[in-house]
Amino acid sequence: MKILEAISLKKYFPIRSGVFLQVCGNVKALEKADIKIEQGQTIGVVGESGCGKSTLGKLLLKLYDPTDGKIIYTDKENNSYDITSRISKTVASKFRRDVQMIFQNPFDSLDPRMNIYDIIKEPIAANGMYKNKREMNNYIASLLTGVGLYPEYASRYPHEFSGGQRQRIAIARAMAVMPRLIVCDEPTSALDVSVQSQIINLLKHIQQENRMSLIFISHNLDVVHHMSDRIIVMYLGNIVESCASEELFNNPLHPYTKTLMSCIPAWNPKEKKLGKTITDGEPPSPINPPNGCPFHPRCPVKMDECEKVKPMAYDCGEGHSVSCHLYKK
Amino acid sequence: MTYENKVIDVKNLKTYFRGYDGMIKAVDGISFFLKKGEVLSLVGESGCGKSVTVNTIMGLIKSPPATVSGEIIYNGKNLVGLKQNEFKNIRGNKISMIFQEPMSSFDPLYTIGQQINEIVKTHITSNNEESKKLIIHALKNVNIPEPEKRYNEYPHEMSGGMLQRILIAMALITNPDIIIADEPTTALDVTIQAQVLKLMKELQKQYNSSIIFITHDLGIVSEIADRVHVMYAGKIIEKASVQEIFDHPLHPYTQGLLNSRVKKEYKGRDLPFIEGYVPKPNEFPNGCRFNPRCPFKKDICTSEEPKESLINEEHSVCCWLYKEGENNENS
Amino acid sequence: MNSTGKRIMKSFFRHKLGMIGLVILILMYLMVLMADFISPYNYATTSSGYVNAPPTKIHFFDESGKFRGPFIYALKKSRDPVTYMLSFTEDKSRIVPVKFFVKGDEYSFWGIWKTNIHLFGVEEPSSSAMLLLFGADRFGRDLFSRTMAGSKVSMTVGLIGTFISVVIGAIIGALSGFYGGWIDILLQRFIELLRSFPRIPLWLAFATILPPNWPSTWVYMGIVAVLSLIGWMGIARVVRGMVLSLREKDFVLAAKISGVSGYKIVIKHLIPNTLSYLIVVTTLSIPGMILGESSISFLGLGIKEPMTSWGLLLKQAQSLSALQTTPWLVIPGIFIMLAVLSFNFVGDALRDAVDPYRTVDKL
Ligand SMILES: Nc1ncnc2c1ncn2[C@@H]1O[C@H](COP(=O)(O)OP(=O)(O)OP(=O)(O)O)[C@@H](O)[C@H]1O
Ligand SMILES: Nc1ncnc2c1ncn2[C@@H]1O[C@H](COP(=O)(O)OP(=O)(O)OP(=O)(O)O)[C@@H](O)[C@H]1O
Ligand code: SF4
Ligand code: SF4
Ligand SMILES: [Mg+2]
Ligand SMILES: [Mg+2]
Repeated sequence: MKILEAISLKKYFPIRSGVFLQVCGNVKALEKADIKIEQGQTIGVVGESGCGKSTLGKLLLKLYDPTDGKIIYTDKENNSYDITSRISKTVASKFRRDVQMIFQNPFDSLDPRMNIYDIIKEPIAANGMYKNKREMNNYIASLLTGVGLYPEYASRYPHEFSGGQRQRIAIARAMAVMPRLIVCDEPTSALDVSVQSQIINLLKHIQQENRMSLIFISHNLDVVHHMSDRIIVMYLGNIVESCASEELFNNPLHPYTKTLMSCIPAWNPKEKKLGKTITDGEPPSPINPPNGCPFHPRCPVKMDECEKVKPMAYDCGEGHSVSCHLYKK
Repeated sequence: MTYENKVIDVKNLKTYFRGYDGMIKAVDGISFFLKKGEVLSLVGESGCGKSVTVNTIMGLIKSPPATVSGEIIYNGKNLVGLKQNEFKNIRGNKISMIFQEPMSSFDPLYTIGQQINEIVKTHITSNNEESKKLIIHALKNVNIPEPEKRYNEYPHEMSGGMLQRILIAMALITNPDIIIADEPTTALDVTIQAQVLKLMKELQKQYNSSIIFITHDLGIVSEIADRVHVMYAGKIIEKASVQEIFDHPLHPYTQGLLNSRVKKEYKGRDLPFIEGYVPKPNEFPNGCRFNPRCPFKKDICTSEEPKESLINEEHSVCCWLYKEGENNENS
Repeated sequence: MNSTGKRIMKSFFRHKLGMIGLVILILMYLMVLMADFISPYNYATTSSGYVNAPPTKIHFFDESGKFRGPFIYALKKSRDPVTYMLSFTEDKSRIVPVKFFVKGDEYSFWGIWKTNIHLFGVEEPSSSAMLLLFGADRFGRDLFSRTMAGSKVSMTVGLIGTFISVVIGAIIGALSGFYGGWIDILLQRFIELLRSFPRIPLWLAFATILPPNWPSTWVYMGIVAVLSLIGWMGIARVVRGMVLSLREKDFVLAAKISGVSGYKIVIKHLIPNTLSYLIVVTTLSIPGMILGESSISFLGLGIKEPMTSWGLLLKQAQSLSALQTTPWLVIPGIFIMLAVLSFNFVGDALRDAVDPYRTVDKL
């Protein structure tokens, strides 16, 4: 069963200047993305800084209005709605309960002036759950235990917790409305190395217990591989490759994906591998992206047509799709 | 090891700050040395005192209010307690530093050329022609395309990766004895990080520089380091050659860090992890500071601090599980 | 109170100047509350016999060195044969004891009870002896009583004016920041335009609009309106900046994602997170208002006689000759200075406590 489907989703951020802030250009943060999320599935999104991962996540949560494209939301009763158009209050509130988010920086995502109880209570109250005070207390206590914290912590304030603990609180808050989908935007990259694995395990457990779907955004290929069923690789606002996560590791096709993989350190001093691979250049600005293939200025196997024609997504079998002229049939 | 081989020798260095609630023992009695032509990597998690250690060496910690004790022997001279003006000739000249945030290391109001020129003027030559030639050569050296054009550009016109390479050029230009790199690639993307690491490695070989390289990423350590010192809560808890660390990690914390790498094989299973959280610097536990998180904790661990024991000539560890000269590895 | 609150309190109470300021302010506002009771005379009563009389000395021992409790000597008037200036000397034969809770001019306390008891004073009628702590003005009115009366205007104008500006400024700033768009652009340009004029001439320009024949309470309200008309703009800018940055904070996004309404987000997240800064800004903008009222009144465009304010009282000390012959007329100026400094000290202390990184300045 589907939960969300994005159809050629696009987001441009206008750049304004002058006294009356006229639009003088666009940050092309996301170009024509197609994504489908099924119940219980985890979709991983990888890519370098500024490639549009967070923009994609926030669009799916309706925190931004898309410049173009559609988002189809399917509720528990299997009714579908296009949430980019005007939707009724009931659909909106169903959507809010069904889709939640966990942010990258746990120091930013909890209001410093609220205690943990109020932080977790907020989404519960906003959705009209647990009006009885006793039930509410019990529920919040159970949520805290569920993420490995003591219920007594409810009366404390965020600054009394470490990054890992705060991320647990953020997870408890997201879980409070029993969502069907959580968008995790780099939930571990601000954490200490030794704490990252704890949070990854926790997310994985929670997901399996509740048959939830996750969109797991990260710049770390290993982490995304561990978490996801499918992986989407993004470059400069474009989805360049998408396939099952095993397939991506065993058979990466897009030159950018290959580059990305070769840049993961070896963890083995005997085979220092970074010295061998070279990728020149840096990602260009999303304000003036290159014509044709967005990766062509850095691509080691660039062809003539890459500079002129933007490759479409070619299907290479078994749900493996690649946007690169090399795979044109 | 002969004395001449050590370019810097740190002995029992302590840097304390006064905090809101109690003393912050950011660096609490660490000793290490750097050999000529090697890359020494300090690894550890956020807040363990890596930056404070090197900032103390650079004389960037104001004391008072902070208290610094111990010895930092450089060139036969103790840098602890040195006055700011005595530091001037050392900092940026004999010891130079590359910071984590390339953007904030530059003044946005001056061109790249002007900023490097300032260093050249104070330490090398005041001849403008000569200085410009030197700088352009240095920029070329770090693979900056069109260095003559970049010379007259402002920091905001450049990307993070490019600025980081310019910082490296700046650090190298005085031909320093020691380069300190404080997480120079943490703010960069993986593909750019790979470029910068490769560049640093090549330059290090070419100039036979001695580098203290700070990072929290053991993957990077495996790529760049010759020797590794692992820090935890203001202490160095294990010292070894890079091969030893990866092949025979001894300290439970080091083992935990190495295990917490997300490997392909773990797919579908739980990742191994270290229990608990990094302690806050004003509430370090008694005894071994890792004891609340340690799976091998013994009684003595909560009461007495373990001393450094030398396991073999290139490996030492601070942990009660090990005795001097003995390698009773736990698994 | 949470521990952030405790930290703020601790840090505030550690600030010495701030504490001194706070004590002075508390005393001053007690003075405002008790003004009629503390003043020995009605601020408007004239006594032709005491024109420009200097401050009265309070004695404890008489000529023979005998302890008599606090007393004053009645004044003897004489005219300088050369300059024809009146001068006063103490008449050592007439001892007038200073007493507490004496009967005097009738007044209505807080506009509620009619009474004639004053905190201190002399029992003799003003024709025979007067207790003039700060001297008298050119109509023979007791400057101390007038300073007390003036404090009612000066110390409250700032408070009420700032309160109104904060309310207006916070609402406009929050709306402008939260919704953005055209309203925001227009408001910002408008504020920039008005703020590009120097403050005092702008105040004066607005103050001249107030009709000169208005009764004094109306004038008072008018002055408050003029002050807050200009004061809200600075506050609106600060609040807008804070709301703009808070709006993008992840915890606000998290609330949005959970379906919390815009109104609740403003009440529960935006306002609590700006409140402490708002208090600081408020405290720091009160002195400006006090000075504003003083300037307007000093230049004769504000509060009118017989009502009075510190600025208006200071007007009498405008000329150099007045300063020479009747230097006590500048005493109200000292009060202005004291109030302004105290508010600044308290504001600084609050700022240091609430905002150790000085983000208010950055916004
Ligand atoms: N609100 C915004 N207004 C204007 N531009 C924006 C906005 N949000 C993002 N952008 C731009 O859109 C592009 C994509 O940003 P996005 O945050 O989605 O990247 P990301 O992949 O999440 O990167 P990171 O790994 O750094 O989080 C960037 O160039 C960014 O500067
Ligand atoms: N000037 C200072 N005053 C007070 N405490 C300080 C100061 N500088 C650092 N500290 C504290 O000392 C401890 C060690 O800080 P340090 O910056 O060395 O950590 P680090 O290992 O470099 O971590 P990171 O990976 O986050 O850079 C931290 O807990 C920090 O809060
Ligand atoms: S389309 Fe061309 S430039 Fe782009 S990745 Fe494929 S080969 Fe490289
Ligand atoms: S000393 Fe004890 S607590 Fe510390 S690491 Fe060794 S075994 Fe663990
Ligand atoms: Mg992002
Ligand atoms: Mg650091």
